[in-house]
Amino acid sequence: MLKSRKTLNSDASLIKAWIAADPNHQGLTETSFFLPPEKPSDAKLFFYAVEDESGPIFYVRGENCLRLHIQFAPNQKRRMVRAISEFASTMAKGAKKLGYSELIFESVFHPLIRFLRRRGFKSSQNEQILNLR
Amino acid sequence: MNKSSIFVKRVSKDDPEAGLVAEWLAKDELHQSLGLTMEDVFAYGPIDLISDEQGPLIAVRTHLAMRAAMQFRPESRLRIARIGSEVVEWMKREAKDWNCSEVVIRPGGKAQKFAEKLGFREFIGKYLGV
Repeated sequence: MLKSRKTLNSDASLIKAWIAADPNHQGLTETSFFLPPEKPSDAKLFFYAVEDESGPIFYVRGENCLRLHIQFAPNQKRRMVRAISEFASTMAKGAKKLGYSELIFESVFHPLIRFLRRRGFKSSQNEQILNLR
Repeated sequence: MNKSSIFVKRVSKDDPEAGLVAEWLAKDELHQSLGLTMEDVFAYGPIDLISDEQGPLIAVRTHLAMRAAMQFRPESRLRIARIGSEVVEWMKREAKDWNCSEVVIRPGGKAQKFAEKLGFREFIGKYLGV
């Protein structure tokens, strides 16, 4: 049976050692990423240490993100360019104010992907999603 | 600085504007090929309809997701494999406590296949850190 508790600063040395031994995280992830921030933050974050009967088995950092699903009007490319730019900027400011860490959307439409990349969106490698509904 | 040129209206599935979104969806070959329906559009309740000065342009459905980053204990593959489904249940509880409808992860290496086995699906994500 798993038990969880809030991650403490005293977990830092163990997290550091685990990151150093993890080929997918070493050199890429700082220990502080899995620790509560020292200064109060507006972002909605949580940090847990999860333990099985033999002790800590993983540390987790959770962030609140806003997922977008978008339906565009057809054949309105010129109007769309201006509207998307303004919409993305407005949404980002609003989401940040509400404590979200990211806006996320899913797309395979390359013109849109290129367009939004120029406005700060990044492709996210190896992303996987679990629907709770 | 330019004055805002877009307007946002909250639209429910019974509002007249929903018909317009249905027309857009019907003409969207990609979304049609994915089998998206108006039920999907309003699955999380009202949507935002974005307009410019000439009229409606973009319909946006939003919901909350929890992004989880994990650092597992090294060289504990058997222990981790044994608790896999329990971890998923734990994540679901945490995410629901946060009113989130999805959990998003970014596993590396062998963890990708492990996550798929636990019910995660591939996601071609684009994100903007705010």
